[in-house]
Amino acid sequence: MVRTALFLLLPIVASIALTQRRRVAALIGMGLFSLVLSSVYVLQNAPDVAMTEATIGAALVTTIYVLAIRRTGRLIVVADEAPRLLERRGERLVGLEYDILNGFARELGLDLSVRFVPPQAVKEALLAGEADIAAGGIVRKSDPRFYATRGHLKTALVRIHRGTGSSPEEGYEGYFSDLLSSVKGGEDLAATLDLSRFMEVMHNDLTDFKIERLPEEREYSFLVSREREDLYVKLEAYLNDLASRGDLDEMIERNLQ
Amino acid sequence: MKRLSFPLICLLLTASFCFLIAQSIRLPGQQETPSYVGELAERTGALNLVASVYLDGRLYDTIFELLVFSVAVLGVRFYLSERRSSHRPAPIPESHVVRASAEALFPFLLLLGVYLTAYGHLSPGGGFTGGTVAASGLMLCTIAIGATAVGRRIRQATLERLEWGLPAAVIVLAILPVFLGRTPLAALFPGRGGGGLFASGSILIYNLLIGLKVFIGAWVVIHGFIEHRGEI
Repeated sequence: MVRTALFLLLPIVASIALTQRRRVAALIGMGLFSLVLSSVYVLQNAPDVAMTEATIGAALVTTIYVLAIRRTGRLIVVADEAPRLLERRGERLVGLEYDILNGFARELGLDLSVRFVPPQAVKEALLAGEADIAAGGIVRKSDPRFYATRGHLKTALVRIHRGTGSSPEEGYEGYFSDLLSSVKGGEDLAATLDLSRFMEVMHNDLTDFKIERLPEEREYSFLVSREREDLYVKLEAYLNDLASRGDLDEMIERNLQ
Repeated sequence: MKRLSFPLICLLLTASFCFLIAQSIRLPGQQETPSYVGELAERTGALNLVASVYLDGRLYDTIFELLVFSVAVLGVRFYLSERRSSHRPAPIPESHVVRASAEALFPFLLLLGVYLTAYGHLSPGGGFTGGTVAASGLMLCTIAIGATAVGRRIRQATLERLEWGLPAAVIVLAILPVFLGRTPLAALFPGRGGGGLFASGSILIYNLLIGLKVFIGAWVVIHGFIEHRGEI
């Protein structure tokens, strides 16, 4: 009776393992399959084979796979925090770009891992191969070192300026949170911000700032290293798919309203 | 529904196939052990019949199994040496719970591995199983404290020499009886029975050599991956 039940359990566990999208879950399913198989061997009076199956199938192979997917099982995104696009809210990550990238990671069967760095370090991290994708309110601009995906949201650039010094061509110094505290603290500063960050800055008193909106229309996009063409093609296809299904508009509405 | 129908049919077919197998296999029950296995067990003094078969009666097969394992390890090392990576990503930090439990579990797993290897002729187990158990313990440690830290505790050069020395020792041990006027692959130290640790002569030595070989081989493979593809 037990033997028949275990025999029937084998294809069920195998199907569960095969249909998992997350690699870790599939791996646990595989280990479970080995354990059930090992129990079958015990009931078949083959304890030696059962032991070998349990140690190799459930322990050793599972461990080796765990070691392998620790590197390859995650989609690493490097980003500078951008309000409503990719930001921390308590323990959670939220935002439009988070939703897009999380869906993309799930489609690839990977776990999304986001690393926040200052804006200057984003591109360096991507070039050094420490991350797969750069995100966090990156305004599309042609750069021969990267593939830029299709724009997922329209934006514009705004120069803000207080005190001496001139606005940089792009971005600001340090983390965005530092910029916000400088604005609140009344320090002299000059920065070029995209709409997402500018709207966050607008919550403060900007009366003594000089504000200039640059005329051209811009778009937010993701960056992928030139060495990862396969990933770029997949991400581009995923974004096109999202847009054609109307899911992208729904995500924008949910995150930006 | 259409997408699900194919996997469902496959699942049903496999389940019914497994059910039929479960119904058709009958346990040996009252069947008598074939006489040659009984004779083998008597001659070697091993209580584990399986061990007496694969380390005495079919030692020839086991030697080749060991060689296949050695060639697999060699293959991993050979192909990895061509793919040396200059870029070394930083190790992934592991949580304290995993580190502490891995360090605590390792000695017990090692002990279990040694026990399974040494008592392979008396109870289920043997060199292959024992070596794998010990190697799993080492890999658990590798996950927890990093391969470089584990590598520092192990003398790599000695391991690499031992790795080929062990199968060579098994082959020499199998050929030596020829010089004593016996047939090749006969036991160098015949078993004397009685069910003790040293009851089955050569089988204990073979088990220990194979256990050590499997343990080292598993470590060499994992260390090779780390050496050439970056810390894990």
